[in-house]
Amino acid sequence: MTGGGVSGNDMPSLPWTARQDVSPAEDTPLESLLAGNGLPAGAGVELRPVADVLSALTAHPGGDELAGLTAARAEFSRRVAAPVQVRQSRRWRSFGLVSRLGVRLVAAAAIVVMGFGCAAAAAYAGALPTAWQQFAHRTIGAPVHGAPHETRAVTGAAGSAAHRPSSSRPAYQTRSGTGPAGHGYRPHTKPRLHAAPPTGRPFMRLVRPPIFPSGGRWPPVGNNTFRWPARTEQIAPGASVSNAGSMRGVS
Amino acid sequence: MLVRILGAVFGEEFPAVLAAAQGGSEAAFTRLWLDANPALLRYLRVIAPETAEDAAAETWVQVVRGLRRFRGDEAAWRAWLFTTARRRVIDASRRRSRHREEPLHDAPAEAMPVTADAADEAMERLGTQSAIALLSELPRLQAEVILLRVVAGLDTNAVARLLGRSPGAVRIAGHRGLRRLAEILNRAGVTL
Repeated sequence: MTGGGVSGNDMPSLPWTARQDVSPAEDTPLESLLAGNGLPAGAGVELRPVADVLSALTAHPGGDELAGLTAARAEFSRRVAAPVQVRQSRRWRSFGLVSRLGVRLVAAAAIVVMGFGCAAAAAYAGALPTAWQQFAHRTIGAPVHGAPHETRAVTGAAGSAAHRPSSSRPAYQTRSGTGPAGHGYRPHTKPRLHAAPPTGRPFMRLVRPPIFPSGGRWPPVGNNTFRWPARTEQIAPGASVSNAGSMRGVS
Repeated sequence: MLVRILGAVFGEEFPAVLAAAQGGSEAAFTRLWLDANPALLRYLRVIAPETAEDAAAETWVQVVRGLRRFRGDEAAWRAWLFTTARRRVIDASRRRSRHREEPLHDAPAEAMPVTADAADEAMERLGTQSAIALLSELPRLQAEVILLRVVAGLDTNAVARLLGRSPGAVRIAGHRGLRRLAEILNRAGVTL
């Protein structure tokens, strides 16, 4: 407008307002009507019908304007009133045992169970200190320190009264029928024919009946010898043999 | 002079009523609904005369969904309510522009609730309907500003936020609308 090099002071003072069509004096009654204060005193007569129209707009509601209440209440009951019970329940739980104590109890129980499990595993592995190992031996039948390997092997697997230290019966004799019954499996160290109890590292094995006794004869029954199961029988060389680790023996 | 049906109806009682409604009180929600729905319907009958009832119902569904999350005073409550209604109308108009729908038959007259003094109500309703019809002749923005300020009881700034206009534009639109309304009434010689 002024071009370059012209000072801003040269700009003409424009008497511009955003509301040139409305004088402030006329605004007052209109604003009063819009604010819901009615027509002020001294307002123009031409605004009186307008005040009546606005009054009619704010009249008491008619019946058809209240017809949707049932549907709105149903929606409210479905979405707000019904879940409030859940919220109250959650609130109760947040102040109750389930939230504050229950979680802690469950966590503590889980820790205790895991601790006992680890301790039991260590006890059966013989990795506990001596005093603890003795306690584990008394309580859960874990092997004791210094016990013979075969004893530890059997007692560690069976864990019954027959394997207590007071029992003088060799562990490998428990298969003869005097051992513990009712277990799902029978631990046993692999018998060595014509040999004393095994001296290697004890290991739990499932019972497998022998196919042939050495020399075609049964070993003599005596102390520290193995009693073969009565149902083990000699079979012909060409017969099929199932020794897949089960108690079924020879088929 | 003006008898408000909405706006400062609850006053200091509003927070307790709102909290009760948010807590699941059906009676408190009913109070809120009875206070707001007539004004809501009148507003909707001007800006969406064909689908005012449907838009009001959809508005309340939306309001009920968000009722627990609402935080604010009575003015904020009314602003939220009418903002939701306006958005419902805009969404409905967009849907209608995509899918033409046949309107359902109106509910029978006997299904409508009947108030105690039906004659007075009829006269009053006639005035209200005439006023709504008169406002429908105004440009949309002017009619909306008048309704939101007078019927909903919102102030200029709240209406400006609701309509996405400046407060000055809202003020001018309201004043122009009232003057235009006066011209229409004087020209027609209408008396309510």
